[in-house]
Amino acid sequence: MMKKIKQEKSRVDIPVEFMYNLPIIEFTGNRRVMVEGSTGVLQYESEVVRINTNAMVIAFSGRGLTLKCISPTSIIIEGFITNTEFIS
Amino acid sequence: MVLKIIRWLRGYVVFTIMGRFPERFINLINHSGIRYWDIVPCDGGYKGSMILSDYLSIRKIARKSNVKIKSSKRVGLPFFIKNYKRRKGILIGGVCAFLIMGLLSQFIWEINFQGLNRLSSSDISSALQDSGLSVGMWKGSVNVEAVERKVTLKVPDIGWISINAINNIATVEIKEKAQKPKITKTDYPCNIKAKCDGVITKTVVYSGTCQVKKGSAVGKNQLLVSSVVEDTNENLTYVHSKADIYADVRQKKSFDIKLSDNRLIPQEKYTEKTDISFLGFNFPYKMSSSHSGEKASIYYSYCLQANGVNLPAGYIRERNYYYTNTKQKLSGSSAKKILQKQMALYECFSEGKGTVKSRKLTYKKDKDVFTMNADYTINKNISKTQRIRVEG
Repeated sequence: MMKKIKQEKSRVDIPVEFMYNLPIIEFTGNRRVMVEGSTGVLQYESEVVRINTNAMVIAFSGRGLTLKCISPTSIIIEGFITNTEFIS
Repeated sequence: MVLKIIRWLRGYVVFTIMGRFPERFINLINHSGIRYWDIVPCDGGYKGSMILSDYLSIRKIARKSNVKIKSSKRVGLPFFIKNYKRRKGILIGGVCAFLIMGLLSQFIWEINFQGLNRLSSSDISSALQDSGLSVGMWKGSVNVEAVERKVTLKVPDIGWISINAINNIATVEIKEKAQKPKITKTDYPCNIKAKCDGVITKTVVYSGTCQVKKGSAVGKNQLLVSSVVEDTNENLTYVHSKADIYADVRQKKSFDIKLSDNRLIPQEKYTEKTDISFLGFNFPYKMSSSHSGEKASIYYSYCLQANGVNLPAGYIRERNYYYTNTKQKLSGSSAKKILQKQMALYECFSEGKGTVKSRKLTYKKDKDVFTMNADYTINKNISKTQRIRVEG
């Protein structure tokens, strides 16, 4: 499978995240995280935030987590993030 | 800040969502393009804020996601208007206030001057008034260029003038003309002679040959500095003599005063008249009965200010002090005091350039006149130029 992906990538030179609808996650330390390519919020509590994407579910655990900004395709979470989990 | 103002103008609701699937509600309003902010989890749901128009359209989504929405706070202009809808006076008052502010901002309420050194602001303001610019004028009726031209012609000491009427303040920038220096001709030969008798104390010779020394006594019109100068080759040349020759000069001055004479005596009482000035008009507010006799008036004007700008409201107070013309007899000591004051003024203004080294005062009372004789020794410049004619 990986071999096939590498072959395809070298042939068309398109970033992997766009080809397979993978979310782009950007961390600023452990205080802020931006998830691009989200499709919705599955759970929102001050200790856990679960975000649904096309490829997987991402769970952020921590303290005092808040949704700073939500748009149909991206989410910004702020707080003290202690754990990130990818559930596919 | 701008965002807060926009939200306040549109009105927003702080709401709480309670139900089994509040996340579904968030996703649904997210996909329907409704904006919300400050969404935080609370007991059994979420708390957030939303614009009023959006809040009215989320009922359907709430039913769909099976949550209950409850508004906990309503903030903004639409709610403010709703609260005061019945009180039409406030609305009318607000509109009137805005109209009055708009109207009053079309007038000039203050004139500021910049760059005045020799010229007085009262002279310039009267020239401006004559030329068509004064406090209380309609801003649109002021032809700035014409006023500038007229004032420049009226006040010849103005080199350049610029008037900027911004908001309610007319700022007058002035550049005064440079004064022509006093030119003294020095292309003719002249001697320096003594103005009066005295004993020389100091000689400062710039050109010419000094004929006197420190300590020598000189008489009136005696030659002090000669215009004939001898150089090293024993050649004689005539020059324009220039020197400051200081000498101790004896001088007499007598001051006298009549002991019994009609004098203006100030009364303790005074009267006041107050006018309220508003929008350039004066309305009498307080008046008091006037007295007979001589009077001196002092005007006080007060103006309300806001942020350093004079407002077109205030009051003018006129205070009249009255004097009675009575025959007064002076005692010797009070006459002496008055004469000493006169002497101090004389020394300050008439003999200002010299230094009074000593004075000897003698008093004399002759019938109705009290006389004070002052015998001065004044150190002053006694040089005066005298042109000489050279023939041949």
